[in-house]
Amino acid sequence: MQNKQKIKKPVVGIKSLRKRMNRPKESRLKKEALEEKERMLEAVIRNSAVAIFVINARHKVVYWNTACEELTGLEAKNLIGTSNHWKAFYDHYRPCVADIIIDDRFSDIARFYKNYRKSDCVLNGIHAEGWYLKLNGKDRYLVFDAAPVYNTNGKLVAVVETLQDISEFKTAEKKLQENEQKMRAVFDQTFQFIGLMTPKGILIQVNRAALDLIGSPAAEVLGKPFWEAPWWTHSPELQEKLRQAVKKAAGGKFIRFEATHLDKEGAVHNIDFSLKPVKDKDGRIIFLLPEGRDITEFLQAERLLKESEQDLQKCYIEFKQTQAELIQAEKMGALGRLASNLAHEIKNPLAINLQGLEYLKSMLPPDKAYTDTIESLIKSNLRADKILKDLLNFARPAAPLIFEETDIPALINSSLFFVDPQTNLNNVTLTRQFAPDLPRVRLDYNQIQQVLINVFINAFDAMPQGGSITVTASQVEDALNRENLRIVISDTGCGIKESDIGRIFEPFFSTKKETGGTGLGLAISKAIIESHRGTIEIKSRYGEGTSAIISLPIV
Amino acid sequence: MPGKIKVLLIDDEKEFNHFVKLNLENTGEFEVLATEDPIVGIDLARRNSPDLILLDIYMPKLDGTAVAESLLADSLTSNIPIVFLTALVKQGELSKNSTIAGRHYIAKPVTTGDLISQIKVILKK
Repeated sequence: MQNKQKIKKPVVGIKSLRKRMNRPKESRLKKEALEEKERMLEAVIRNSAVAIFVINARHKVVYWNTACEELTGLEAKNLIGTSNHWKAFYDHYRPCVADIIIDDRFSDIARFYKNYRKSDCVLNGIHAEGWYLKLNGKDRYLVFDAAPVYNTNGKLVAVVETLQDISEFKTAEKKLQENEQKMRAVFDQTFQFIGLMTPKGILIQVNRAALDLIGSPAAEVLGKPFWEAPWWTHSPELQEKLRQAVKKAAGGKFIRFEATHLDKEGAVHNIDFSLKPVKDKDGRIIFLLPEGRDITEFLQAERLLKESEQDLQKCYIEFKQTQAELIQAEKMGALGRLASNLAHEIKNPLAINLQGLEYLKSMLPPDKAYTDTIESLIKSNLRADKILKDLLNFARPAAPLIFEETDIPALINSSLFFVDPQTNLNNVTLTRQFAPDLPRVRLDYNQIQQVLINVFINAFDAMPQGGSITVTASQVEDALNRENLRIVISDTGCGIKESDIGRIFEPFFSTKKETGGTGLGLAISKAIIESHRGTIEIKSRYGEGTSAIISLPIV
Repeated sequence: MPGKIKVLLIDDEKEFNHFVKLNLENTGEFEVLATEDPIVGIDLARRNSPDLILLDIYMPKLDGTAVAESLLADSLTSNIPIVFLTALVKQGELSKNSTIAGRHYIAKPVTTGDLISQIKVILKK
């Protein structure tokens, strides 16, 4: 471009200078001045760092400066007066830019040059450029600027052509382009959402991933405040948060927060969003770099991981419980054998005591002090017997279950038979509600009967002043669509204290120790129900009543 | 002693036999023969034709069920009702008045009142 400036005005031809010098009417002084000017011009051209050559209207080289010699490797002395200047650039004849001007063949130039245009600043000048391989030993990118030289009559007398080797610039430019392409590819192909904006938050660049998410073309979002773009417009709170973040980032702070974006289908994406200030070498903030990482899947995976961790924890707890139960079962088995032997050994002396006490009672004079003492001893004897029976029931090694198709109303009624006498004594009303068409259920008749008896006895014991018992039986579906038999036995008795509910199934825990409870009935019941893969649950409100809910799978 | 119910009690617990005999006979309704030796018990049954035999199950010399089999096999004793007396009974079964191998049983310890009422039920008296 510098060269163009130098030759902006049409150059006065060297020959015309000579002609002028030869005019006899001109003064010697003028001639000397002109000669001086010519020398100066020659010196300027010769010493110019820019390669310059000049051809006349007959395509003969009239000037080939030192820089031109150095660039092309051809010496002026071999070229001056010839039309061989093309040899500096080509291995066969073809016109140079200067020749095209002389021949006025601009319309034809595309045949010879790919990259050309008319000069921006010199009338009829031509600019062309291109790669020249192995030119004077190396590949060069040359820029040609040719300008016509007219004499005072306006006749074309010569063309001055300057050559500039901008290979290094071109190579650097090419590298720069390649780098930019690479960067652009990274920018556009990364899964992260990346953009660039002014410190005021105006979006000036945005990558493909970010645009694809919202399904908008770049033109729709560039040049606008970032918070007004579709990534943010679904949430005024987020828009405000971003606006504040831009302010802070423009003040030099790194901002990061979790946001949500809606994609073009309206699905919510969780985004790890950050905003970084970009500084120039003087430390001024020139851009803000917004980045977003889609962490939806990560969060989902995290959630799943947490769930599976919880499952694992649950499994572990269940495993520990099962292990504890197995240990307990083993202990109970041993206890059962022990209890069985013990009961036999103790029951015989108890039987002797009882008979002996009754004999004493019949033989002693009818003194209240005596009979009360004997009665008390007899009751203690019977209580010891009851404890032994409960212990036997609880601790007896689990008998193998004998499953049989069972009519449920009949089972409930037969269980009530054993406790029925108490209903009259305690003024208890009994309501039975059995669903019609209850299926027969496969279960161990004797064991389930034992459970029902235990629960009924508890219900009667809870109502010493009377009340009502409701027993219902129905078929229900559980959460896993499995059919279950549900038996609910509800009483209007004293209920269980909240502090005692959690311990109700513990062996030897009893709320009626004073009246002979051994605390084994519900523990036995739970073990039996669980051996049937069922559940038993006790719900109670102190002072209002208790419900026992038994669920057994219908298989 | 006509009119009295003749009961034979075979139990290895001598004191138990002693008190049961006293308590039942005290009522005036029973005549009780008692032995702690099952072999002697079988002989007493054959010779005395009791109305009912109270028979313990776990005895060191001869198991109660074996005694029962022997009595059932003998035409002299096969019609005598046998009631097992046992210390190994589950709660609930007592109320059912159920049977072991088709036989009646009474759980120990038992009150004299219960014992008498059950004997009468079995003898349908």
